[in-house]
Amino acid sequence: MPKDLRRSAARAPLVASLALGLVALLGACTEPPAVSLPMTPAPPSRLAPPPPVASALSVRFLPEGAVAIGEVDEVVADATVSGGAGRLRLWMDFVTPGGTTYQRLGAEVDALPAGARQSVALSVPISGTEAARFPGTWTAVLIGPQGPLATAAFALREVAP
Amino acid sequence: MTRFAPALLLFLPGLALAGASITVDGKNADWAATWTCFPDVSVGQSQVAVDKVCLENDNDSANTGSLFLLMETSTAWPSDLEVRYGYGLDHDNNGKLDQDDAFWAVAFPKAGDDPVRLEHWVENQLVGSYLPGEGCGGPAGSDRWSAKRSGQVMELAISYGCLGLSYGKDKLAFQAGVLPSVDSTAFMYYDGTNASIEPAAATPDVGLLVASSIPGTVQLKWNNPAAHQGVLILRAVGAPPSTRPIDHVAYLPQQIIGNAKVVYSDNFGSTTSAFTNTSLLTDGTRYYYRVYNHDQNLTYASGDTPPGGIWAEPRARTGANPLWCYSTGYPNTLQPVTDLGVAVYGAGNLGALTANVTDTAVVANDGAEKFRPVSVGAPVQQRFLLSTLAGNTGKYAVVGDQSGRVTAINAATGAVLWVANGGAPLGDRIQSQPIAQLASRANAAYLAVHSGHDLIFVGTRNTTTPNKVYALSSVNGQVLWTYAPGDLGMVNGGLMVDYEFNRLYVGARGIGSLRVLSSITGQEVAPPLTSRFNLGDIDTGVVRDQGFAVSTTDDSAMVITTAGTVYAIDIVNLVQRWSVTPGTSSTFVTPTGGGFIVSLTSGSVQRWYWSTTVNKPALLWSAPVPSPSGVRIDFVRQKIFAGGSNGNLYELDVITGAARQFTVDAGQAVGTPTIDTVVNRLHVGSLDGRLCSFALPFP
Repeated sequence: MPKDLRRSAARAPLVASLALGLVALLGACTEPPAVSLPMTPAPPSRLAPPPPVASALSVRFLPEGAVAIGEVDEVVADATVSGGAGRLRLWMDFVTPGGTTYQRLGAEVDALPAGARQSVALSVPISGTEAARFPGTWTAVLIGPQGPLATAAFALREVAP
Repeated sequence: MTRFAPALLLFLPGLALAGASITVDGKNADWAATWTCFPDVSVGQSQVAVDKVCLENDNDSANTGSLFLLMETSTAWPSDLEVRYGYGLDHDNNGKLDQDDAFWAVAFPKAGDDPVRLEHWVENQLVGSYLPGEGCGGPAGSDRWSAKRSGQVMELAISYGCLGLSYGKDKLAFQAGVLPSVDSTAFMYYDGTNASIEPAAATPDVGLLVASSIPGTVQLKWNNPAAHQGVLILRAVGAPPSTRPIDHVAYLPQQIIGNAKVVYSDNFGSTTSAFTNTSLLTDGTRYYYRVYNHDQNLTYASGDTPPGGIWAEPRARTGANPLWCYSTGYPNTLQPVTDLGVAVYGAGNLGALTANVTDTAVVANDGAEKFRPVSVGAPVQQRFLLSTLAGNTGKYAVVGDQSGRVTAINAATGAVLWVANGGAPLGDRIQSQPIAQLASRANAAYLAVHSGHDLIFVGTRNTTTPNKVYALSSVNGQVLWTYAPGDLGMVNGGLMVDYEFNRLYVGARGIGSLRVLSSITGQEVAPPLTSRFNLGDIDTGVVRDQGFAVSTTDDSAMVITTAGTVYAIDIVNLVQRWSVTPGTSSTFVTPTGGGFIVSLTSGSVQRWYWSTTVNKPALLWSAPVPSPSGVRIDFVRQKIFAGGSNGNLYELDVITGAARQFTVDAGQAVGTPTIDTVVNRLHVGSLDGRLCSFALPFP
């Protein structure tokens, strides 16, 4: 046994050390430094966490076959997700050609058994809305608890003058 | 071996409900279905490197159960060490585990599988030591503990009574560890209010975050969610804060995180929901903010609501600078609605009604929120109605949204008066602007049927089922009549009411795209009048022109189709007067009396005026404006305002079309402006989520 451990056991109860150890681990929470930060991230877990959320994303137009921005009634983003634990909150951002998030939609899905998948469809109206002012290549971004999961680009063509 | 009260085995993925059946036998077989396991965050020097730590409980409302702890290693427990296993409980529920809290640990001797004692520590003082077979300081019926280890597994169970926990109130953070090695876990969160043990849940972002700016000042406001202990606000210049705060770490103002600086932080269930930033602000500089809600021991939310955070740019009230700006972070290009001299209202993809005070006397109050944004549950993508409503006192905003609902909101208080149709959607979406036929201005024919209430008209935007037009009561939002012919295409633009003849004009897609109904009954006007005009798809509103040639001639209903043709319909005889084709537009045409102004998607604003040569409007001038918004005419100064997709607001001369432009936000499309003629101000929203107020005339 290393000396320091034995010394610890002799001078202070191990439970106290546990307590202090836990407290020390959390010390940054109770007395944060004035200017510098304890930036040490937690090392990777050796225990496999719940399976990460995996996804696939595709985009379709309604009505089918529409291409011009004035003809596309809706853009539907179909996401297929699997993995995760507990109820899963998902977001879908529809991003304009200029990079601005035009609309963010949310959905919740239940936890899925291993290997199971669930589909989520979220849509944004185009024709007759302000979105029709922004022809070009848009992006649908599926966002999970830890950030973006998948993206899909789609083009809304400008109406010929 | 001790077996604690067996109970109904009920597992759901991701959480372990009360009722787990665990036998403390030093084996892990009965933990196989447990999801509530800690990620191991071994801090190094591990004499005993723990690979798996799980918690379960079998407690119920009677508080007779226990909290179970499982620890596993990849190799056998060392036989030459005394080892202690235990956990800390956030008893004071302050969101962190500190020396005020309780720590429990069970001690095992060298090479032994049975414990020698259970220890209870508070504030670094041993307050209890319990031998095997003894209680652990809990009340009768909840005063047991047991532990066992074998090979690579250790199990510990302690009664709720000993731990000071009770069903329904035991909402605590946990952290488990083992000595020697100081190998400990990340936080787990126990929530007895729903009888679950859960990993720290994703913390929700604050709601309805807005940023407003006046010279030298930025103010943020938000709504704290239920899962909330405090917020951390980061500010950056040049780009949004790029680095997320580290969970379980507290920060103080002035600390640097990535490219940002902490400008505010609080904790312990703070109810603060506004932050005014005045220090070290320079007018003309754009400041980017993220507000991180935190809960469960400083577990931070994404800070990405609205996407990318929010920004504000205070500016001196000079030149063409705005008087104030107010941002929701979500596109806000709809034409604002003005209560002249009192307030300006907005809506957009935030899905909420916003209200800002107009105050020409007190700068600090100018543009301030009249009330917090009122969520209607879905994005709003069409202008809304602001009006008195018969049967109610005051003015109301009547808002249609993308969930198919129509909501009436008190314009003074933000209180919801009603949601139409008892809250049930009227269609897939409401894209058309709600309009009203006011009883106070209606004629006898109207009042004979609809005395005591106004009618509010909306059309649906269904993509797969036939559309409908509804007349709603101003009193309570109940449907008074429905036009559902079965062949009506989706209605995207505003409707038009003719008070004299009690007619309602509906522009839609499909066959018979312009329909004329009785506003009193919802039935199509009877022959010999024409009730259906096959003009081609219509996506924008029907408007009324005061005279088709000069202001004294009969009025017209005017509409532009998606093919870019403008039609004028004689509103007396319901016959087509003329048509011209300037080109496609994403907005309705603005009538000018004997002509119109149209915003063409091809990149211009045009004025068309009556030509006696061709007996219909002809092009008077065309001014280049990239992907223009709809227009608003300043009748006093004879100017036309339109927003461009390049981030500029355009001012066009009514007679010549000569243009000036003023930057609102470079690169971000500007919406349709509106003008408060009482205080001479122009209000306009933009794709970047801001609504700004400008003094008229522009210098």
